[in-house]
Amino acid sequence: MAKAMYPQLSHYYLKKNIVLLITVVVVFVVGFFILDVYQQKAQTQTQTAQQALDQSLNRVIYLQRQLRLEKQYGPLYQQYDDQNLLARQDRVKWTDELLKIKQELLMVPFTMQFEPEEKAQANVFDQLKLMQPIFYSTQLNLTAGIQSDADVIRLFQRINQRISPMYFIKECHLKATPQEIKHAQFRTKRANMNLQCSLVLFLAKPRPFEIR
Amino acid sequence: MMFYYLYAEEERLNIISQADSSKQTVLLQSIAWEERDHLEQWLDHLSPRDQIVLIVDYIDETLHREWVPKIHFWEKASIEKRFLDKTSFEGALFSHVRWLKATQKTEQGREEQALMIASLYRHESLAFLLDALETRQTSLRAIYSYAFLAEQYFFRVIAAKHKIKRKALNAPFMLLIRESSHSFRQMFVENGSLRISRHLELPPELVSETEILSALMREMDVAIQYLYNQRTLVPNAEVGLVYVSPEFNDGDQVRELFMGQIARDAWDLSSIPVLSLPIGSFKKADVSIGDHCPGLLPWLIQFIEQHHPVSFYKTPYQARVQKLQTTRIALLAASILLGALGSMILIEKAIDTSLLKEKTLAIQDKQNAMQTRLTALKAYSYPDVNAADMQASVQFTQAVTQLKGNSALDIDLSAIAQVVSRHSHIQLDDIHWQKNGGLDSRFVQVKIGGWVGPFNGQYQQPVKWVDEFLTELKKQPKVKEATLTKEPLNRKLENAVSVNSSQSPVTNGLPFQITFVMEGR
Repeated sequence: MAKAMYPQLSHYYLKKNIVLLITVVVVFVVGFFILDVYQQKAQTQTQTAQQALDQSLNRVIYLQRQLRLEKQYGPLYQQYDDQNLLARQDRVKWTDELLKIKQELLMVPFTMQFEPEEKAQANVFDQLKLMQPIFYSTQLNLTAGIQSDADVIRLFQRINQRISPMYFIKECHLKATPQEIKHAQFRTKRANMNLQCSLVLFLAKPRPFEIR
Repeated sequence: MMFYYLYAEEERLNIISQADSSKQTVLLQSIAWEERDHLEQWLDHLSPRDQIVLIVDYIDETLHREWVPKIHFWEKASIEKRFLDKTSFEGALFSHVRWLKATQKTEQGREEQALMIASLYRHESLAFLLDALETRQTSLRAIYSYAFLAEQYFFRVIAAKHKIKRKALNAPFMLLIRESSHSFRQMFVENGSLRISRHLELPPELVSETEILSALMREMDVAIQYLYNQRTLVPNAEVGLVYVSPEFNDGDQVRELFMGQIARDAWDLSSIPVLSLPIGSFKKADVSIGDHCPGLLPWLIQFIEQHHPVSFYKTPYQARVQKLQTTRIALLAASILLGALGSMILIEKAIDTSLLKEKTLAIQDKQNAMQTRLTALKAYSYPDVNAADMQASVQFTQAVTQLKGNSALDIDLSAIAQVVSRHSHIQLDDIHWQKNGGLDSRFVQVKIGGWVGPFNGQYQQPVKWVDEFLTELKKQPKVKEATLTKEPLNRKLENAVSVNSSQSPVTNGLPFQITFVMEGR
């Protein structure tokens, strides 16, 4: 009974300190979350700015590279383009020119067949590198009756000179006509040999320049 | 918060604290136990904030010695509790157990250790005071025994400041403290522990200092005789003297008297202390209690203030106060620690945030510069075609033209034709070649087929002709790995020999086939 009259000792000793501890914790937690919000915001801003900077930097690098490469390769590109050396061939030219060569070399019979164009794969080469993903390839299957094996060389020389050297011979099969093995002679209507070749034509499709 | 030192003695309770006006610690009140109303009146104004230290000084405080079997230190608590319970059961208000250094061997050969039990029997006045303090929920921090407080003060402060050797402190000696002109405290100390304490009050009829001191010497002699008689000491054994006189300048005189009247001629006092120690300078000026209380009390209060010795006697209530205090300190420490740690984290976070802001500004500056460069770059004229693709096209063209060189074909047909022309019996009708590896490979895989003739029923000659042809073919520098894949005659015995001449377009020829790898360019 008497005890109730007087303040409790534990109140005196602990109350203030518990309140202090709770206050410290609350102040810390609240402060932490408020600061955290600010920090997150600042972080987002920094990231956005950094992304914008990276983008600008990439653009500058891209344009500088364009200028540098154009200076380095532009004239050669133009020269090769004029010399028909660039892998920019089209089927019409191939067809027209091959038909002319057929007339000149009296190749009878003569067939050509283009297979569908496909993206060039790097693994068709041992060493050669395709620097940009702009190359395509088409297989051209040729069948021709020819007079002599020298015509094979002539045929490919003319293709190189008049159409384009940008192709590879994948496979060739030269076979003498059975009847002519013993008595090969030059005749305009009948061929002494039969030639079958598969060529792989390469084709580059450069992309247009654009400011990104 | 006020500190109150309650010095309780037989007749009265002396209340010592800081006076309101000054910082001096002084005797506030001295209340006789009979004046209970007066006492209660004073007690009523106490609050939990007030820190109470109780110093009890009663004549009937007993020091009792017991021998117990030597045990491990973790077993000591239970023995202590047994003795505390026992004294409490026998009517003690306070009791304290102290383990002594002394050990002995019993006749049975058992090792024993001495312990001392200090106890104070129940005084109505003290019981009332303790109850009143608990009822008012005051902070009763500690309860000290005056004698043991003096003992501790001697060992921890006086002996340390005078650099008295440990060996001397362990020797048996009388610690004599002069508390006023006629009252002394006589303590027998052995093995560094208080053994017997006695309050010595000389008759007031003695006036001169000489009379007082010779009376003191007589009392000393009586006390030492008592020790011999009680077998506390071996008869005629050496006893030292340490004389502490806070307020009187009589140290040398007492020591001379002791050496002349008490010390036996046969005593070897080389390791026994005979000292008088001035302690006046140890006390600072801010404790002054006056004449009512023993002369050493101001020093003892200062000792409590500075050293906070552990409470000598313990009661459940005092233990509770102690526990609350510890808890409070722990809570405070936790708050400070958390506060410090928390502020560190918050400050770090704030710094991080401001650094991020600075970084953003720096990035934006760079971005502006970059934008200027970009605008300048955009002003140039650019070709229609992507320059990187230009580069790729040019490099591809260069690589292919370099690879192909001047030759139109990737096989040297004329080299083969020359070899054939030197072998009149060989005629080819079939050449097949394909890349040996990738399209850019320098090598082609060649397969040639033909006829050897004339065949007139005998295989020996055609086989020889083909072998000769193959040998020469192999000699060609561009030809590698030439093998005969189809012989004019299968010479392997396990295969049946069959020649069907009707299949042959050449009536008198035999077919054969050779494969090889040729370097085209």
